[in-house]
Amino acid sequence: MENLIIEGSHGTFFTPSVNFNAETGVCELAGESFLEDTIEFYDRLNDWLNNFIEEVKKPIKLIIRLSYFNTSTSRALLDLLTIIKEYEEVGGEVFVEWHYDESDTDMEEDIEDYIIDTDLQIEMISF
Amino acid sequence: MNENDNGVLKYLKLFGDEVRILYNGPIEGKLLSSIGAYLRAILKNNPKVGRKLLAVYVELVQNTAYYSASRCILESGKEVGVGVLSISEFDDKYIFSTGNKIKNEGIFSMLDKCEYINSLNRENLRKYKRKQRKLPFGEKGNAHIGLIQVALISSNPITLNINPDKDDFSFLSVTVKINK
Repeated sequence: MENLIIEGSHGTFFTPSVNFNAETGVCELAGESFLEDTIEFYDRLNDWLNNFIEEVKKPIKLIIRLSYFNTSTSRALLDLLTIIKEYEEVGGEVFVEWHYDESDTDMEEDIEDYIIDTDLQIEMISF
Repeated sequence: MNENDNGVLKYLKLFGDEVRILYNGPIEGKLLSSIGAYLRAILKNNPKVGRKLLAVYVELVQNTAYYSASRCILESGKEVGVGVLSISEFDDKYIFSTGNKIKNEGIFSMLDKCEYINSLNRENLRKYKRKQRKLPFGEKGNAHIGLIQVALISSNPITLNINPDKDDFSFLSVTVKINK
Protein backbone atom coordinates (compact mmCIF):
# COMPACT_ATOMS: atom_id res chain seq x y z
CA MET A 1 0.00 0.00 0.00
CA GLU A 2 1.31 3.44 -0.92
CA ASN A 3 1.83 6.34 1.43
CA LEU A 4 -0.46 9.34 1.10
CA ILE A 5 1.50 12.54 0.87
CA ILE A 6 -0.02 15.93 0.13
CA GLU A 7 2.05 19.08 0.35
CA GLY A 8 0.39 21.89 2.25
CA SER A 9 -0.12 25.21 0.51
CA HIS A 10 -1.19 28.68 1.35
CA GLY A 11 -2.91 30.57 -1.42
CA THR A 12 -6.52 31.55 -1.84
CA PHE A 13 -7.37 28.47 0.17
CA PHE A 14 -5.29 26.76 2.84
CA THR A 15 -4.38 23.13 2.14
CA PRO A 16 -3.08 21.15 5.09
CA SER A 17 -0.05 18.92 4.68
CA VAL A 18 -0.74 15.22 4.86
CA ASN A 19 1.74 12.43 5.51
CA PHE A 20 0.05 9.07 6.00
CA ASN A 21 2.64 6.28 6.17
CA ALA A 22 1.45 2.79 5.25
CA GLU A 23 4.55 1.12 6.68
CA THR A 24 4.57 2.71 10.14
CA GLY A 25 0.87 3.57 10.48
CA VAL A 26 1.85 7.09 11.52
CA CYS A 27 -0.57 9.57 9.95
CA GLU A 28 0.15 13.26 10.25
CA LEU A 29 -2.13 16.13 9.37
CA ALA A 30 -0.69 19.60 9.84
CA GLY A 31 -1.00 23.26 8.93
CA GLU A 32 -4.26 25.01 8.09
CA SER A 33 -7.41 23.66 6.49
CA PHE A 34 -9.79 25.87 4.51
CA LEU A 35 -10.47 24.23 1.17
CA GLU A 36 -12.46 24.88 -1.95
CA ASP A 37 -13.74 21.31 -1.91
CA THR A 38 -13.51 19.97 1.62
CA ILE A 39 -15.43 16.75 0.97
CA GLU A 40 -13.26 15.72 -1.98
CA PHE A 41 -10.03 16.42 -0.07
CA TYR A 42 -10.97 14.55 3.10
CA ASP A 43 -12.53 11.66 1.13
CA ARG A 44 -8.98 10.86 -0.07
CA LEU A 45 -7.77 10.71 3.54
CA ASN A 46 -10.74 8.63 4.66
CA ASP A 47 -10.39 6.23 1.71
CA TRP A 48 -6.70 5.76 2.54
CA LEU A 49 -7.52 5.04 6.20
CA ASN A 50 -10.26 2.57 5.27
CA ASN A 51 -7.86 0.74 2.91
CA PHE A 52 -5.16 0.68 5.59
CA ILE A 53 -7.61 -0.78 8.10
CA GLU A 54 -8.77 -3.40 5.62
CA GLU A 55 -5.40 -4.38 4.10
CA VAL A 56 -2.60 -3.56 6.55
CA LYS A 57 -4.47 -3.95 9.84
CA LYS A 58 -1.57 -2.46 11.85
CA PRO A 59 -1.85 0.13 14.66
CA ILE A 60 -2.61 3.69 13.59
CA LYS A 61 -1.04 6.72 15.21
CA LEU A 62 -2.82 9.87 14.11
CA ILE A 63 -0.94 13.10 14.82
CA ILE A 64 -2.86 16.33 14.24
CA ARG A 65 -1.03 19.65 14.21
CA LEU A 66 -3.67 21.91 12.69
CA SER A 67 -3.34 25.53 13.73
CA TYR A 68 -6.56 26.51 11.95
CA PHE A 69 -9.53 24.84 10.29
CA ASN A 70 -12.88 26.19 9.15
CA THR A 71 -16.29 24.72 10.02
CA SER A 72 -16.51 22.60 6.84
CA THR A 73 -13.21 21.00 7.79
CA SER A 74 -14.49 20.57 11.33
CA ARG A 75 -17.27 18.36 9.95
CA ALA A 76 -14.80 16.41 7.80
CA LEU A 77 -12.48 15.83 10.77
CA LEU A 78 -15.38 14.32 12.69
CA ASP A 79 -15.78 11.72 9.91
CA LEU A 80 -12.05 10.99 9.93
CA LEU A 81 -11.93 10.54 13.72
CA THR A 82 -15.05 8.36 13.55
CA ILE A 83 -13.22 5.98 11.19
CA ILE A 84 -10.39 5.74 13.75
CA LYS A 85 -12.87 5.12 16.57
CA GLU A 86 -14.66 2.40 14.63
CA TYR A 87 -11.32 0.69 13.99
CA GLU A 88 -10.65 0.75 17.73
CA GLU A 89 -14.08 -0.74 18.41
CA VAL A 90 -13.32 -3.78 16.26
CA GLY A 91 -9.98 -4.36 17.96
CA GLY A 92 -7.64 -2.02 16.08
CA GLU A 93 -4.91 -0.32 18.06
CA VAL A 94 -5.15 3.46 17.73
CA PHE A 95 -3.38 6.47 19.21
CA VAL A 96 -4.42 10.04 18.59
CA GLU A 97 -2.28 13.05 19.45
CA TRP A 98 -3.39 16.62 18.91
CA HIS A 99 -0.77 19.37 19.19
CA TYR A 100 -1.94 22.95 19.72
CA ASP A 101 -0.68 26.35 20.80
CA GLU A 102 -1.25 26.77 24.53
CA SER A 103 -2.66 30.27 23.99
CA ASP A 104 -5.29 28.94 21.58
CA THR A 105 -8.20 28.23 23.93
CA ASP A 106 -10.66 27.92 21.00
CA MET A 107 -8.59 25.03 19.62
CA GLU A 108 -8.41 23.47 23.08
CA GLU A 109 -12.21 23.51 23.29
CA ASP A 110 -12.47 22.10 19.78
CA ILE A 111 -10.32 19.12 20.73
CA GLU A 112 -12.36 18.57 23.90
CA ASP A 113 -15.51 18.60 21.78
CA TYR A 114 -14.07 15.93 19.47
CA ILE A 115 -13.32 13.79 22.52
CA ILE A 116 -16.96 14.13 23.62
CA ASP A 117 -18.29 13.45 20.12
CA THR A 118 -16.13 10.45 19.23
CA ASP A 119 -15.33 8.98 22.65
CA LEU A 120 -11.75 8.64 21.45
CA GLN A 121 -8.84 9.13 23.80
CA ILE A 122 -7.11 12.12 22.26
CA GLU A 123 -3.85 13.13 23.87
CA MET A 124 -3.85 16.92 23.98
CA ILE A 125 -0.31 18.27 23.71
CA SER A 126 0.12 22.02 24.11
CA PHE A 127 3.29 23.83 23.07
CA MET B 1 -23.66 62.10 -7.62
CA ASN B 2 -22.01 65.50 -7.58
CA GLU B 3 -18.57 65.39 -9.20
CA ASN B 4 -17.21 67.94 -6.73
CA ASP B 5 -18.07 66.15 -3.55
CA ASN B 6 -14.65 64.68 -2.71
CA GLY B 7 -15.27 61.44 -4.56
CA VAL B 8 -14.76 58.34 -2.50
CA LEU B 9 -13.47 60.34 0.47
CA LYS B 10 -17.02 61.08 1.51
CA TYR B 11 -17.60 57.37 2.13
CA LEU B 12 -14.44 57.09 4.21
CA LYS B 13 -15.53 60.12 6.24
CA LEU B 14 -18.82 58.39 6.94
CA PHE B 15 -16.99 55.46 8.43
CA GLY B 16 -14.32 57.32 10.36
CA ASP B 17 -10.61 56.75 10.82
CA GLU B 18 -11.14 53.32 12.32
CA VAL B 19 -11.88 51.64 8.98
CA ARG B 20 -9.11 49.28 7.91
CA ILE B 21 -10.87 47.44 5.08
CA LEU B 22 -13.95 48.48 3.16
CA TYR B 23 -15.05 46.55 0.10
CA ASN B 24 -18.14 46.16 -2.05
CA GLY B 25 -18.08 43.79 -4.99
CA PRO B 26 -17.58 40.17 -6.01
CA ILE B 27 -16.23 37.99 -3.23
CA GLU B 28 -13.59 35.95 -5.04
CA GLY B 29 -10.32 34.16 -4.44
CA LYS B 30 -7.73 36.89 -4.96
CA LEU B 31 -9.62 39.30 -2.73
CA LEU B 32 -9.89 36.65 -0.02
CA SER B 33 -6.19 35.94 -0.05
CA SER B 34 -5.07 39.59 0.01
CA ILE B 35 -7.34 40.42 2.96
CA GLY B 36 -6.26 37.16 4.57
CA ALA B 37 -2.63 38.30 4.22
CA TYR B 38 -3.50 41.56 6.01
CA LEU B 39 -5.09 39.61 8.86
CA ARG B 40 -2.06 37.34 9.01
CA ALA B 41 0.11 40.39 9.60
CA ILE B 42 -2.02 41.13 12.67
CA LEU B 43 -1.70 37.48 13.65
CA LYS B 44 2.08 37.87 13.75
CA ASN B 45 1.94 40.77 16.20
CA ASN B 46 -0.98 39.58 18.27
CA PRO B 47 -1.55 35.84 17.67
CA LYS B 48 -4.56 35.50 19.95
CA VAL B 49 -6.60 38.27 18.30
CA GLY B 50 -5.19 37.55 14.83
CA ARG B 51 -6.34 33.93 14.99
CA LYS B 52 -9.85 35.03 15.96
CA LEU B 53 -9.97 37.65 13.19
CA LEU B 54 -8.89 35.16 10.56
CA ALA B 55 -11.40 32.53 11.72
CA VAL B 56 -14.32 35.00 11.86
CA TYR B 57 -13.32 36.43 8.49
CA VAL B 58 -13.32 33.03 6.78
CA GLU B 59 -16.74 32.03 8.15
CA LEU B 60 -18.50 35.36 7.48
CA VAL B 61 -17.03 35.95 4.05
CA GLN B 62 -17.83 32.38 3.02
CA ASN B 63 -21.43 32.88 4.13
CA THR B 64 -21.68 36.14 2.20
CA ALA B 65 -20.20 34.65 -0.97
CA TYR B 66 -22.45 31.60 -0.74
CA TYR B 67 -25.78 33.11 0.28
CA SER B 68 -25.72 36.46 -1.51
CA ALA B 69 -28.71 36.79 -3.83
CA SER B 70 -26.64 39.18 -5.91
CA ARG B 71 -24.35 37.19 -8.19
CA CYS B 72 -21.85 38.01 -10.89
CA ILE B 73 -19.90 35.98 -13.43
CA LEU B 74 -16.15 36.53 -13.59
CA GLU B 75 -14.02 36.41 -16.74
CA SER B 76 -13.14 32.81 -15.90
CA GLY B 77 -16.84 31.92 -16.14
CA LYS B 78 -17.07 31.26 -12.42
CA GLU B 79 -20.16 32.62 -10.68
CA VAL B 80 -19.53 34.31 -7.34
CA GLY B 81 -21.62 36.18 -4.77
CA VAL B 82 -21.45 39.94 -4.42
CA GLY B 83 -21.22 41.46 -0.97
CA VAL B 84 -19.81 44.11 1.35
CA LEU B 85 -17.03 43.60 3.85
CA SER B 86 -15.68 46.01 6.43
CA ILE B 87 -13.14 45.72 9.21
CA SER B 88 -12.68 48.55 11.70
CA GLU B 89 -10.12 48.79 14.46
CA PHE B 90 -10.67 50.57 17.77
CA ASP B 91 -8.43 50.78 20.86
CA ASP B 92 -10.06 47.79 22.51
CA LYS B 93 -11.66 45.84 19.66
CA TYR B 94 -12.12 45.06 15.98
CA ILE B 95 -15.56 45.27 14.40
CA PHE B 96 -16.20 42.93 11.53
CA SER B 97 -19.20 43.39 9.22
CA THR B 98 -20.37 41.64 6.11
CA GLY B 99 -23.47 42.39 4.06
CA ASN B 100 -25.34 40.98 1.14
CA LYS B 101 -28.69 40.89 -0.58
CA ILE B 102 -30.90 37.97 0.43
CA LYS B 103 -34.32 36.67 -0.49
CA ASN B 104 -36.95 37.63 2.07
CA GLU B 105 -38.10 34.03 2.46
CA GLY B 106 -34.92 33.15 4.36
CA ILE B 107 -35.00 36.07 6.79
CA PHE B 108 -37.12 34.72 9.64
CA SER B 109 -35.24 31.46 9.97
CA MET B 110 -31.98 33.41 9.96
CA LEU B 111 -33.23 35.82 12.64
CA ASP B 112 -34.52 32.95 14.78
CA LYS B 113 -31.22 31.08 14.55
CA CYS B 114 -29.24 34.16 15.41
CA GLU B 115 -31.47 35.00 18.37
CA TYR B 116 -31.12 31.42 19.59
CA ILE B 117 -27.32 31.48 19.20
CA ASN B 118 -27.10 34.77 21.11
CA SER B 119 -29.25 33.35 23.93
CA LEU B 120 -26.91 30.42 24.62
CA ASN B 121 -24.06 30.42 27.12
CA ARG B 122 -20.71 29.06 25.99
CA GLU B 123 -21.32 25.50 27.15
CA ASN B 124 -24.68 25.27 25.39
CA LEU B 125 -23.26 26.94 22.30
CA ARG B 126 -20.61 24.21 22.13
CA LYS B 127 -23.34 21.57 22.55
CA TYR B 128 -25.36 23.18 19.76
CA LYS B 129 -22.33 23.26 17.48
CA ARG B 130 -21.66 19.57 18.11
CA LYS B 131 -25.28 18.77 17.28
CA GLN B 132 -25.18 20.75 14.02
CA ARG B 133 -21.81 19.27 13.09
CA LYS B 134 -23.22 15.76 13.21
CA LEU B 135 -25.63 16.55 10.37
CA PRO B 136 -24.47 15.27 6.98
CA PHE B 137 -22.72 17.74 4.66
CA GLY B 138 -25.13 20.06 2.91
CA GLU B 139 -28.05 19.29 5.19
CA LYS B 140 -30.16 22.18 6.44
CA GLY B 141 -28.68 23.46 9.67
CA ASN B 142 -25.09 23.09 8.49
CA ALA B 143 -25.43 26.60 7.17
CA HIS B 144 -25.66 28.01 10.65
CA ILE B 145 -22.63 26.23 12.04
CA GLY B 146 -20.55 29.11 10.66
CA LEU B 147 -22.57 31.58 12.75
CA ILE B 148 -22.24 29.37 15.83
CA GLN B 149 -18.49 29.29 15.30
CA VAL B 150 -18.36 33.09 14.93
CA ALA B 151 -20.24 33.49 18.24
CA LEU B 152 -17.87 31.05 19.95
CA ILE B 153 -14.68 32.58 18.61
CA SER B 154 -15.68 36.19 19.22
CA SER B 155 -17.32 35.46 22.62
CA ASN B 156 -19.73 38.25 21.69
CA PRO B 157 -23.30 38.35 20.36
CA ILE B 158 -23.86 38.54 16.63
CA THR B 159 -25.88 41.50 15.37
CA LEU B 160 -28.11 41.11 12.33
CA ASN B 161 -29.55 44.12 10.54
CA ILE B 162 -32.13 43.72 7.84
CA ASN B 163 -33.19 46.48 5.48
CA PRO B 164 -35.94 45.85 2.92
CA ASP B 165 -34.77 46.18 -0.66
CA LYS B 166 -36.74 45.96 -3.91
CA ASP B 167 -39.24 43.17 -4.65
CA ASP B 168 -38.70 40.05 -2.56
CA PHE B 169 -35.24 40.99 -1.37
CA SER B 170 -33.59 42.60 1.65
CA PHE B 171 -30.10 43.63 2.57
CA LEU B 172 -28.65 41.63 5.44
CA SER B 173 -25.73 42.84 7.56
CA VAL B 174 -23.92 40.60 10.01
CA THR B 175 -21.73 42.36 12.57
CA VAL B 176 -19.51 40.95 15.26
CA LYS B 177 -17.07 42.44 17.75
CA ILE B 178 -13.70 40.86 18.54
CA ASN B 179 -12.09 42.12 21.72
CA LYS B 180 -8.39 42.88 21.63
